[in-house]
Amino acid sequence: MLETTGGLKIMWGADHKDGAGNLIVRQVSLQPPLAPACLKLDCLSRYLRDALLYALLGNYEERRVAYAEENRHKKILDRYRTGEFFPETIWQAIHANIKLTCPVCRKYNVDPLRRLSWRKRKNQQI
Amino acid sequence: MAQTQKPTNLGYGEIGRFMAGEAATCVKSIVGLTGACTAAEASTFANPGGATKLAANGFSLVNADTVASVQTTVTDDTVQVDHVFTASGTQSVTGFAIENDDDDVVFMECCFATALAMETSDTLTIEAKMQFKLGS
Repeated sequence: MLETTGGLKIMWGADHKDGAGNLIVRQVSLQPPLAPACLKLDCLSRYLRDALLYALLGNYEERRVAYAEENRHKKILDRYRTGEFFPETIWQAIHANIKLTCPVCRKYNVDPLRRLSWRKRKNQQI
Repeated sequence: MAQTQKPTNLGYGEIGRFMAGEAATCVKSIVGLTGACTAAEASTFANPGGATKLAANGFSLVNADTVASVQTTVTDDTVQVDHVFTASGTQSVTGFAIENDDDDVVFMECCFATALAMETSDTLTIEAKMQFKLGS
């Protein structure tokens, strides 16, 4: 008997709003990476890359939602409420996580890693 | 608390029975969850995601506002459940579960990235989808 692949995929979204209809935080489901389909190096490395991105995104989402919930009555950057500008690469996810842990960066919408690299470039030019 | 979502083994069984024309009921109800929540296929109706099913403050088991088939990849391949919970008191919500019409089987459970601190008159708008994925 031949088997087929496929199955039941779960997706969801949840919007938490206050009584006046103001968005407090929006969450969407993150899909875990698919298991590698072969044992070739590129299959395994793609899986490891996807797994690392998934872990970083999970970490970011946890922090983002907690931050938005804690600051429901304060003004914060919209991206932390809506989840838009969602990181799509490992590098973006690392940036987003670091920025979210830095109160000054959150408040003034500054990317600490880009700031460092800009200074580094500037020093090199000098 | 990590964000997780899973269909359940008992849900697979209910779908199988429903397709075979045996005793089973369709997707119908939704309930809020509280406490530590990790979605798992082995979860049961009594213990969804290791969390506690809410029975107060507007998050108790009810018929979802709408249940309909929609297209994700091919026509009508996805069951979509939409519902709006309105908090009637202060409540921590860590996820939700979608159940059948008999309210005895959980089809899917979802755990949030972080517990939501709901206050009176807050709303939680849920859109949940179960897609029957194409195979090869």
